[in-house]
Amino acid sequence: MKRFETLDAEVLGASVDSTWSHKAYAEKMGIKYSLLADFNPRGAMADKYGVYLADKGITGRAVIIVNKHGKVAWVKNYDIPVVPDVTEVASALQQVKTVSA
Amino acid sequence: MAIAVGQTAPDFSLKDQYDKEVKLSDFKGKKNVVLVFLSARLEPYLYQGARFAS
Repeated sequence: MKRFETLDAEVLGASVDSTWSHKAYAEKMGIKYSLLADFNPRGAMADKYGVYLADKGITGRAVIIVNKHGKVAWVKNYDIPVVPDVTEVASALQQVKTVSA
Repeated sequence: MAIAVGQTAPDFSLKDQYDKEVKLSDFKGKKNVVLVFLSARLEPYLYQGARFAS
């Protein structure tokens, strides 16, 4: 995550799990960035971004970069077994940073 | 359909694992924000978390 900090970005994770399960998860995994509990009403925030899978009751895997001006600057959806490529996200972020600076 | 590039990002206010309210608008004009949507339940996605934690 240091990599993202040097890119002057805030990382926010989000899932439909509760605050308590996020706390346990973050401790177990050593996650320092914010994990947002989008569970009341379930998936409401993900739904606004079009990434809530209502039929499954879960959030689809996606990474969305919002620039400093509050606009969506980069969107990538992943099929559930695919793990987001951190390098790709970092390079997209670098680009967003350059464009929106 | 996921939101499209160029659209205004919808604001939200949600609690994080420290019980702190986090608003998207808090970062406006200050920082770019990377929203990482993790699929619940958490167990199958531990690897993703691990990668993002490092």
